[in-house]
Amino acid sequence: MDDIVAQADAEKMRSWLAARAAHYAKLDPSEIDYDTPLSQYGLDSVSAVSMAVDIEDEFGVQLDLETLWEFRTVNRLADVLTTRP
Amino acid sequence: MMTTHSLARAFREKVREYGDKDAVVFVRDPDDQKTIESWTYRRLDEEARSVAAHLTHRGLRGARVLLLYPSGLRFIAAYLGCLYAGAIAVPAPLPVRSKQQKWRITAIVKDADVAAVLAQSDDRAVIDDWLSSDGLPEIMCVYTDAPGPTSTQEPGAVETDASEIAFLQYTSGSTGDPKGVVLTQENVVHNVRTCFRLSGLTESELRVVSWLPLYHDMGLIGAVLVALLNGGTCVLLDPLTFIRRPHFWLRTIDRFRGTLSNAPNFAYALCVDRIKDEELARLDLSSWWVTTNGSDWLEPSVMRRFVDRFSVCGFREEVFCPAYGLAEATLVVTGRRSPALRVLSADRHALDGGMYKAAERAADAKQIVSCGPPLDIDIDIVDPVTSEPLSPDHVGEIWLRGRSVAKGYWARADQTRETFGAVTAGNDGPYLRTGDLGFIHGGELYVTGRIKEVIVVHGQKVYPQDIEFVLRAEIPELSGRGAVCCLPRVDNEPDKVLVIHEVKLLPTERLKELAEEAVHIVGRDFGAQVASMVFLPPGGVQQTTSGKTKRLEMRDRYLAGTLEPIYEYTR
Repeated sequence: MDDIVAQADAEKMRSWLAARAAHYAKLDPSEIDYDTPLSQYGLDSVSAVSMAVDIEDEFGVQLDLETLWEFRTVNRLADVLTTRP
Repeated sequence: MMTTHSLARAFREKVREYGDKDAVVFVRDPDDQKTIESWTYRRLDEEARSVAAHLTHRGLRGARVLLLYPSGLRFIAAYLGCLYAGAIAVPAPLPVRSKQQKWRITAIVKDADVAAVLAQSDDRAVIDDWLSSDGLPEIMCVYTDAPGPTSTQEPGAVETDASEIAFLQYTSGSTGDPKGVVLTQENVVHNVRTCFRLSGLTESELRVVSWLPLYHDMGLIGAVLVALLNGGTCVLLDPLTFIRRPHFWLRTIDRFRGTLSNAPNFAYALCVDRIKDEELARLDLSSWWVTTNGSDWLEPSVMRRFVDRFSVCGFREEVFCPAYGLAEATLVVTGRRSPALRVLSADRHALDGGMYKAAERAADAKQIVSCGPPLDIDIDIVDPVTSEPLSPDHVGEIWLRGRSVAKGYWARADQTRETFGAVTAGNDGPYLRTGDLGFIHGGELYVTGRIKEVIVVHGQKVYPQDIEFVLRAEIPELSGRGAVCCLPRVDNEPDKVLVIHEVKLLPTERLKELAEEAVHIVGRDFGAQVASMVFLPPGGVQQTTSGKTKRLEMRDRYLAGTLEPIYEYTR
């Protein structure tokens, strides 16, 4: 049961991340592929900071920019966020 | 006849006049009093004297001293301390993030022959890491918040001539070839006076709010020095505070009843896009008198969106002061605050042909905002090829002469002659060649483009050579030559980068990965967006006989579709 809840949470987080990325890239969320680095959608240094702040506000997790650039796709970011305490 | 005082003396006069008034305030969160720190003019003077005592004690008068501080009060004290002690300050960003940043600071240390680094003890680890990784352990570090020798000498007792160097402003040049603009006492005093006049404010009304980096001319001269040499108060935020929470900027203006607060164009767009309705509801911006929009491309549509969004908070269109300037002319060159933005609707085809003509059809129109008239400086528009001066409405290179024009580049006689010693076909000169293109219409300057191969990202210059260098360092497969250029500008869009690079023969799948990696690196290290990535076989990037990359020719061939790429990626 816990697994199903966790999976649903992870899925929600992925679509939330894709929606934020799409917002900054001025795209439709459906255009964001979860395994493509977000930089490919034109996310630059300023929008990366904006994403980090959004994540902080939404999930209470402070991500530094290095982490954001390293875990560069929706799927990898969601993994980081769900496995962090 | 105007007299030119030294900067140190001008500041000391204000200390005598305004001793107990707040000189500088540093804000982390405008709604949390505990995060706000302030120094009066008297305290700032004491702190600057203590820095000067450190410098004098170590015999650093006349030496170049690197200032590596985060935004904050200690930076200002260190900067003034250098002026007091007659040391030449070289402001630079703390090398915290990437290898690229460390390389850049190291290149500056070597170019300026820096004798000492000033910093605060909190940053000791960062500084040690940089010094050891870049092999500079012998350089002297002075932590200015630590107790030092006491000052016996009255500051400003060191006699300063108007032609003496005030500080070096490193904004020009790539990492491998940094160029420090040499600013004299006269340059800075003159330009600060020009900025203050442009603001239209009186000394008692001068409350400056700024999040601009202090190692950048617009932050140091346009905010800090304008405030401190005119008896104002300067309220500072860290640049990252603004990028993280854009409403903190406006909230700080509100809370401190700020009257002058400048920014590059992207900042207004960020406020419109990111400030939420509930944040907006409690903002009062009616104190805001002037905002100079400079150092980025000026977008009339962005300024209008800002007015539309924030007029409910008391922000008025007349607050906008579009301006043009560059570090080589200290800071500001033209600018004007006026009841409404002055925007020309120019015919694109005529502009391409080098002429301003009013557009007859909306489809042909390009909106260009006036940067205002020249401010106590001579501007000539000159044909960059023939050096013939051009008449109004003709597009040419912007050439300047006057008291704000810097002395040249530090220790670079050839580049100084090339850039600061230009002479017209009629043998008139010397002029500063700005590398920017524009025309004069109705006595005001309109900027249309640039000649230099430089990309503007969030108001800061990025050099193609640096991007090429980092790409080659990070991606071993990019073995040959590269040509990074700026694509022709699209209205309301940031500068977009075109990367053309030679590459070894590899499977297409691998080339796709390399292209993704390159786009990622350019975004991460330079903050810029790559619109197209083109891989050519070895030998595909053209060069001149002297071995210089023909970037603009490569860009034109890309646009004409005459390149034969082995792989191409387009966003």
